Amino acid sequence: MTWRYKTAFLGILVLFLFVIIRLFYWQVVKASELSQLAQKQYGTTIKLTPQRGLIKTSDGFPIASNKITYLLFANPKEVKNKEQTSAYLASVLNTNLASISASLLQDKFWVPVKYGVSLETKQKIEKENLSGIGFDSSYDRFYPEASMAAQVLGFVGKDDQGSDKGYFGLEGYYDRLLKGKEGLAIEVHDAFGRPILAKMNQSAGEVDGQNLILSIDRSIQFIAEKKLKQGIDNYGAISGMVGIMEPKTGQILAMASFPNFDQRSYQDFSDELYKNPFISDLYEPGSTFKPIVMSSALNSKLVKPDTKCTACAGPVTVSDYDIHTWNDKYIPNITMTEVIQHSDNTGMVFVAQKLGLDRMLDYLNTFGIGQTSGIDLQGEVFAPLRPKNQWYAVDLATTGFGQGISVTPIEILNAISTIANGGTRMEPHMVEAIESPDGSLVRIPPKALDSPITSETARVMTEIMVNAVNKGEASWVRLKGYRIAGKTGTASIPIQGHYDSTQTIASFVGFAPADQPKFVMLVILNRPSTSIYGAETAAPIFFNIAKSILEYYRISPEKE
Amino acid sequence: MKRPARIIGILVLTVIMLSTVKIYIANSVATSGIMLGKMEEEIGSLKLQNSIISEKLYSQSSLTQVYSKAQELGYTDKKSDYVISSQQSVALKQ
Repeated sequence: MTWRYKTAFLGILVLFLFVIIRLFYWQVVKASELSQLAQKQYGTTIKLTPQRGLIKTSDGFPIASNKITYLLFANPKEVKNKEQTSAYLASVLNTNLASISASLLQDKFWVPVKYGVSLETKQKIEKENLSGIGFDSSYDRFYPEASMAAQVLGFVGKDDQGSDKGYFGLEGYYDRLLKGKEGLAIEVHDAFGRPILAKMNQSAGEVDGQNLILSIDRSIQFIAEKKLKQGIDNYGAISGMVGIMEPKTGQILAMASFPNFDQRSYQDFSDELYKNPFISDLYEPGSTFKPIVMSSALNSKLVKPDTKCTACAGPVTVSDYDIHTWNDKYIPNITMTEVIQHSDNTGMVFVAQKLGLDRMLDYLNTFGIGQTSGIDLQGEVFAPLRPKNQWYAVDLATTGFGQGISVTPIEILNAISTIANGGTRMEPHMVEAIESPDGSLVRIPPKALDSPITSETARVMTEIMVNAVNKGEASWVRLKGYRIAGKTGTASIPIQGHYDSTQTIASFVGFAPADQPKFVMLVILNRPSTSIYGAETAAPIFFNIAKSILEYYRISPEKE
Repeated sequence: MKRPARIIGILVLTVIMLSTVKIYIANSVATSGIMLGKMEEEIGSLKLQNSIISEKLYSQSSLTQVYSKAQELGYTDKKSDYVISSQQSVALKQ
């Protein structure tokens, strides 16, 4: 072989090698980049928004559902008569003309004009055949029962990426389950940019949100809301709330508070109304706290129902503070049953002092006071109990009758529910089951948290509370023929270091039927103006709701 | 020498057969896009109808709606219950 052949052969070899290297570069190294570039030319990637999971009440009715709405978008380069189109859209959409004009004047191929357009409005606009105007479907939250349980549900807003996000209540707590998983699809275009097929590769990871089945009973919720609202109006209260729970399981049957907000137009309401005060507001419980302290002392065998208070003949002085009864009437040698019946503060000081700080703190902890209840709602707060070295003698005394201690309503409801449930504290729960898009159900079993008192103590405490209902300050409003255990509460509101005796938080907590409780309920009124006492304001609301629930459960009264 | 030639022949035949099948299938499904599009359209339309009907159903069967309708029709809340409760049965009393 001459050198000419060799050179030519080498040259061709180098050329082939170059071609192979280049092919390797484009087909292996740059493959994914080129693939993306090609995809951009023949189609665009679109986000597939999954349907948000429904929130259903225990009867399977969707209290938060989805409704199809549309995004009206425009291609300003294709809109022919911008002025006329803007005016027409502004009138049909009931929107500001300037904002629509500004959208249509943009130098872009795609601009969103209005979100949440209804089907009727869409059909009306489509009839006009406006060039450069289009619609994209999406789902919006729809509340068939309007603002029922608004603060329990929370609302759906947008996150910083513009995607749906649940805030507050169940929407916030279960956001990840409810929202599902976004999918991606490629919309293929022809040479003129018109879509060929509606969607390609549709099953690219889109998963609809899961449904929540609540323990909330829609009928009880409706009754509670209606009667609470009437009560707030009747007693001139600033606000009010009610919580109803099944003691055996800890499942919440109803929870409501007023004033509330409308989830559809949440932005028009004050931020303060978004939170659920039943789990987010701290208050001094007053006398509704007495059954907790009394049952602790009974359980420790420090007192019996017939134990007589030897220090109740007049005001009690603790560390220079005089402690009076609510009506300044004193019953010497009052029994423990009567202490609860007359809501005697001096009697509770006697009980608290017998109990002592160590035992008091231990019992409060096991009753769940000073800690979160574990309810599955976003926004629960708690005020931890002070460290032992920060308790003074007067603090122990006032805790006996529920002052100088801050709790949330759910803590009180759960603690009294413990007495109703024979001494076992259950975790309060809103969601009974989770339903997958394929229909499969995952039930959430009830969870026992603690057993602060024995069943015998719970039985004795129940009898004391039944006596309080039958013979106490709220006996005028009790339901004849039913054995109901309960306790009134009238807590003064601490303002700038002292208690304002003219403004109170009136409450009533109780359960029925006392022997086999179907529900435990707490009613709270904030600053009622017709009367400051729980027995005259919260108690009538409690018994009004209780009557309807007992009828609903078909529990008939018995002859007395 | 005969054996490799046979193997090569079989391979070439397989390639030709597979290519023919591929061309046939590609041709027969080429027009399915239209049908697929129609089906997708139909699914979309059914989903839309389902959504609209569900919305109407939920609105009409909500307690809020039922309560207001009942009031319009003149229904009122039950004021008191009549319960027959006695240790002696009504029959025995007579």
